[in-house]
Amino acid sequence: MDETASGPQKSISLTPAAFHIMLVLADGENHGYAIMREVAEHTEGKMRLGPGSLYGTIKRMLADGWIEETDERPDPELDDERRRYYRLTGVGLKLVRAEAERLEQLVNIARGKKLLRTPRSV
Amino acid sequence: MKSFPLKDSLLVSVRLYRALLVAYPKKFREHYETQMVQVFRDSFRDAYHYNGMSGVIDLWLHTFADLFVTALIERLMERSQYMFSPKLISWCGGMASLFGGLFWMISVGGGLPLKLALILELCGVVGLRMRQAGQGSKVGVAGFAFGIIGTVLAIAYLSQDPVSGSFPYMEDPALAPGVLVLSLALFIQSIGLALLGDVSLRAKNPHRWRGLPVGLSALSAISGVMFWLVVSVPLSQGQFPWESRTFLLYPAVLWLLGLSWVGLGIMLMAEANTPVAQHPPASA
Repeated sequence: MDETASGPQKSISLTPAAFHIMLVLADGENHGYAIMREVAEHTEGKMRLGPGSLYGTIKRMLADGWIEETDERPDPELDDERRRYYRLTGVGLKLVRAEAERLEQLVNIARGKKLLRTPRSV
Repeated sequence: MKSFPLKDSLLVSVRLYRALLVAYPKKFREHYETQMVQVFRDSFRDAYHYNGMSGVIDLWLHTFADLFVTALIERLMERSQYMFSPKLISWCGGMASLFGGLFWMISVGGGLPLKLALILELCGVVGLRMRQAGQGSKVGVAGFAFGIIGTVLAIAYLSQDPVSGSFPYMEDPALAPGVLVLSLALFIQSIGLALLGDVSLRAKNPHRWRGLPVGLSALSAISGVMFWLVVSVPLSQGQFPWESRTFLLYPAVLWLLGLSWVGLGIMLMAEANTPVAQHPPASA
């Protein structure tokens, strides 16, 4: 989509599910179940994606050109060949960076207002 | 110890989950069914491995909620895509043109059928343009704008108080100049139809009735002149329009116009699936 390609940070707000999936894919390509598990880990179990919400979000992200399917397999012998792997596109990477920066700004504002007690270590 | 019940309950659960996937739209299932079942199977194994049957129950509760919400979302999204698809709009425009044409044919008495015919024509013009959707042609966009402006102007004229209900059987000579507005509106509409017709004529995969919009444009312009000749001229000379000899033209032109809109409607409905191809580049 031209809109996303030209300036994603200007007009697009990511859903929480899409942002978490893109955060996982920022580390490299991955398949559906691994994405689901990592999202649950990142959020300490607060966000549990079911198969429907996972693939519904993936479908829309593919259509918007934020992620793409890849044929590469980390280890073809160990992996089930029916699995589909996804990775971020250039547009997707820009978008997830822009969203992370937006959230950082919000956190800084909240910190300035002393709404956060201590900075959390990652 | 756990492997035997796991195998049984996994098989049953996966079968049940696969059956439940019917809640999703067919296209979605075709793309993601295998992956979704695989993710469910992996989730089931992990849930059983770490938490036993309580983990499985928790997984099922979560899966049911996920399935219900996301299947509903996918169904709604599919429906909204279909509702605003050029194909459906083109088909509806065709249906509207067809009925608009029929209303033209019975509008010799003026009044409501005449206004309904014009209102349905609006939908017909939208349908004609949607059939060319994705063409990005400036000619098509200009044709669409002229078509809409002309038709809306004609409806506005016929909805005025002294004219509404009495057109074309008007007796007041003061109303004669106003008929020019209707003639002008139909002329603008005819320009729009001509431009839209030009896009149809240049299509790579033309319909055998591709000349219809251009023919309709000519008829629309003729009917504009006819309204002026049959209604305005006698009125301005102190005659009742229906007493003039030229009034014989009135039903004939309305019938021709009606038949052409019916034809356009049939063409749009029959060809709703086939987009009109883009103009070839000038250099080609």
